[in-house]
Amino acid sequence: MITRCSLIGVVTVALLLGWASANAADTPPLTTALTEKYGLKVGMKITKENADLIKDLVPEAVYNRTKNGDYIFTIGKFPEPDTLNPAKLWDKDFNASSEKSRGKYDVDAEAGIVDKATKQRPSPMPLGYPYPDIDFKEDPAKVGAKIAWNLVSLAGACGEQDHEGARVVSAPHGGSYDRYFSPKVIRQYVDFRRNAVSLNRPVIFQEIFFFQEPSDAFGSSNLTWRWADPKKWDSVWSYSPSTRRVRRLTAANRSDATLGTEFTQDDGTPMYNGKVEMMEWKYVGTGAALIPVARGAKQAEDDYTAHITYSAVHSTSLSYANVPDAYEQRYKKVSFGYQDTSQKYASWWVSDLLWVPVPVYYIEAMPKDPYYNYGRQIFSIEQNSFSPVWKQIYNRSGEYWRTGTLWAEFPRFKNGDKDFVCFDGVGTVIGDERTNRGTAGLDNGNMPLGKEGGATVHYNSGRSGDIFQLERFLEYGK
Amino acid sequence: MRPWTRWSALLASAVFILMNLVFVNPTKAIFLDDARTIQLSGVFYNQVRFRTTDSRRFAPKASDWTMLQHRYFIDPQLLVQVQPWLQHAPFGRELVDLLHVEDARFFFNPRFEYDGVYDYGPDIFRHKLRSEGKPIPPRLQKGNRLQLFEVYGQFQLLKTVNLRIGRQNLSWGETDAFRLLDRINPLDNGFGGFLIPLDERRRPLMMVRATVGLGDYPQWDIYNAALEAFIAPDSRLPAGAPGRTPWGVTGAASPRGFPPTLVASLAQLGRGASRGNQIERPDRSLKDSRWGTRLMWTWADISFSLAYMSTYPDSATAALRLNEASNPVLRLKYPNVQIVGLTATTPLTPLNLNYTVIRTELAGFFGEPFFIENQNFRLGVPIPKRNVIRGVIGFDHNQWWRFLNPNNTFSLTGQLFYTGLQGGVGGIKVPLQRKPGEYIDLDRTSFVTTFGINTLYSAAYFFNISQVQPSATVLYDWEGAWLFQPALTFIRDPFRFRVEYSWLEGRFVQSLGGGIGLFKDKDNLAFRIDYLL
Repeated sequence: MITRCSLIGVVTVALLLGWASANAADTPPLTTALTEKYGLKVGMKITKENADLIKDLVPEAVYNRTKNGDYIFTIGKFPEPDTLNPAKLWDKDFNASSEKSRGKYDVDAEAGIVDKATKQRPSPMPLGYPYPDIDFKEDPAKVGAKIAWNLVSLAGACGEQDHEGARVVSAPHGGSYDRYFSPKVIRQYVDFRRNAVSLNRPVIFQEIFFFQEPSDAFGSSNLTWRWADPKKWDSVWSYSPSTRRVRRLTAANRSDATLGTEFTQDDGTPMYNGKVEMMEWKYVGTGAALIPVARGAKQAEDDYTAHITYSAVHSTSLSYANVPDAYEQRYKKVSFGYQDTSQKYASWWVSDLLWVPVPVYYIEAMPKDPYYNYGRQIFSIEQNSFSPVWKQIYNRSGEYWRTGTLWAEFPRFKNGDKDFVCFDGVGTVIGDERTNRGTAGLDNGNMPLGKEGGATVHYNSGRSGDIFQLERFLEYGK
Repeated sequence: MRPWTRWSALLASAVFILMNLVFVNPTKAIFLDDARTIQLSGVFYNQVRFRTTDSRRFAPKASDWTMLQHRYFIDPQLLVQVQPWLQHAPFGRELVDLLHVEDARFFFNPRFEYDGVYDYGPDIFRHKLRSEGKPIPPRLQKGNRLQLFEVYGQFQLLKTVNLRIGRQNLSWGETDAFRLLDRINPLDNGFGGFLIPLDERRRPLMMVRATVGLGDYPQWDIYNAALEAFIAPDSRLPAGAPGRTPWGVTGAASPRGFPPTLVASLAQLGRGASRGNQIERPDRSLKDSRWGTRLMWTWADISFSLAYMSTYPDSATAALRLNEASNPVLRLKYPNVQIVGLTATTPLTPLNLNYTVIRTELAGFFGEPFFIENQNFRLGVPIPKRNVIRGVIGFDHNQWWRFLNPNNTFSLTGQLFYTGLQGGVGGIKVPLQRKPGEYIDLDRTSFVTTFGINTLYSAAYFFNISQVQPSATVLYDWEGAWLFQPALTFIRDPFRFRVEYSWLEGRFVQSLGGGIGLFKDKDNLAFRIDYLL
């Protein structure tokens, strides 16, 4: 009898320990623990002298640049160690909807989402993470695709994004930029949004990319429809003011360098703005990385709190006066290397970002299209929020090419009893290791000009899906 | 414009450019207000061309390495978002709500052009500013033009209707370089150059243009259905440089008694010569308006458009007529032409040619005017008209040649144009003498091929000074003439610098769809610098 009780006790303890250890393994480490683990301190500057501290927290190319004095990092902290925990980060609707998706979806051979019950691609996908419970014992291709879907699901919570005038500049290592463009971008997420949008076409995402500057590109625009059908390529049209006609483009054009910069349309939010099914995904493993967060416009120099989420205000632009749920991206404090009076860092580097160590997943993407601009890409994705951190890009010959990061924010907005939290990549830096040039871009298009205020981004703008019709797209051209 | 006014305008333009160079650099925004509702943009360029061959045949004598063109181009553009202001106007909010105005904007685009070749170019083209002691009328000061280019208001109403009202350009169709369905606006031939972007050549018309979205029909796999219509009650016609121009094509002089019908008709009237030319313009009326409509849709990832328009030809057809004083004149006629066409374009994704787009266009031109000497120069006989079929098949392809350019694709584009004249061709000629007393024949069919290639190199390959864009374009007229145009463009915002060479060769003939051989003595080397605001 004693033996039987002992056995039950041992088994129970073993089960509890097993559960506890398994649970512990599933819980990503806190940012404070990572800060301590890597010997970092809040407010610490990482320069070429102490770059070794972040060797395991950044891609090798970034580490090398830091050792060379091209890049600088300032270590920050989140308001809470678990700020990026979805339960704290997102609103109730988002978390409830994510919970409903638990165990409901699988990925098919094309890396597309399928409902386990119906074996069909649900359209539209509901708000939240489609895969809140990834089983890492599954085929790495499936795990990779699921992480990618969680990544692209984030911005759907915004409904629509109206970018008034981002600015993207391309510069050599030293000196000012020599090429730039300023796009007005209107995006509508049909999948993963809060309220269904009335549309007859089975698309999951629509985008208009309208060039405002430079003058010879003014009036040029691109319209993209991303189909729910996993095998159907994006439909892309462009309008050129020099010919005044709409021309068909292929989806592959989205990976071409935009106006000679190091940026492609697929580099946009959320760091992979292409169709998930166009890549072969693979889960590689876990690690830790420094995630960038911009300082708020009025944040003190000695305040190292990384406000990756903040309370946004209703859109101040008159265009959204009648849209009660529209809110706008905050203004930030960002300066680029070329803006320094006496340049110290690479022209495209942002020296005043705050960097917080976070746990990441690594996933690889290989384009199925042999003509795609990039070869293998390695993404690091924050484990709690699935927010993007770094992107390492190889060329088609397998040689290392570029390193990019996209810093993101989760603006919050409350209107009456409605809570909104959204995700948006607000700035990007891409360094080209082969040409020693780089591109930097920011939604607050005035910042690269050294000015405050100006262009920002409006979320939940309430645009109807009709604006993404070809004839409406024409109105943005001259 | 009087001479002093012209020089004032030039001086003002130079000061304007200088001020921009000094005070505006790429790090300055061009929105004039914090709310970003007023956007100022603009392109300013200066281009000089030197002919690289002596003039040939019957053209005015000019030697090589003399100036062919010195073009100043100032094109500021102002785009104002009116919608936010509209809401603050009295009853503005009510109007916006009632009409569901989603977007309202105003576009203003004056344009100034000047060609110095007439003032300080070769003597033969230099324009005397005074004649017989009197100033030449402004219209003859052909190098100098200030015009209100595009000025229009645009409104998005009732969710599906887009209205654009005012002076504007509109282009339909799928072609580059040559126009099929793109015959809505007349062209400005007042300045020379080959393969100039058509948008610089179009003459804006007073026009009302409406687009109505018809929605999607997924049950038939039809998306993006829309109907577009325009009406342009405007008397503007193609413009040319009056008088002698270095770009003009000159045929052989008429021998005595040629052309026989004209000589006979004039003799019948008791006149030795006609009393000049007279352009026959359409009235500014609904009856004479250009108008058209097109239906657009996408089916199975193929974008289609079906269009009909009533418009006017790109060039005049001369006919002998009597003016109001019963004097014989050569009436330059632009008779109304009806065009019906269908376009289709699609990426070749199903064939795994993911970087290739095919575009096609087929159009019927009904009632196009032609020249038959014994009809056009005979009083009381209508000018001959024929129907013409024009078609094009083209491709746009992006190709990676990473060993040549690891960062950007090469963009290749090609087009094959077909033109076929319907009905009898007997007696139809080009009214230009290739030999004294011998007009150029016109074949029933013609083919023209164009091919272009370009790529963009990172500034890293050019000492981080500028990006470099090499390009080459070939235009081949199957009648036996070609244009080869290599160019190199250096790009460093806000500047562009371009070197372009145009090499022309071929027979002095003209086909229905081509005729580049007529310009075979216009080989030139061009240097152009752009400043972008």
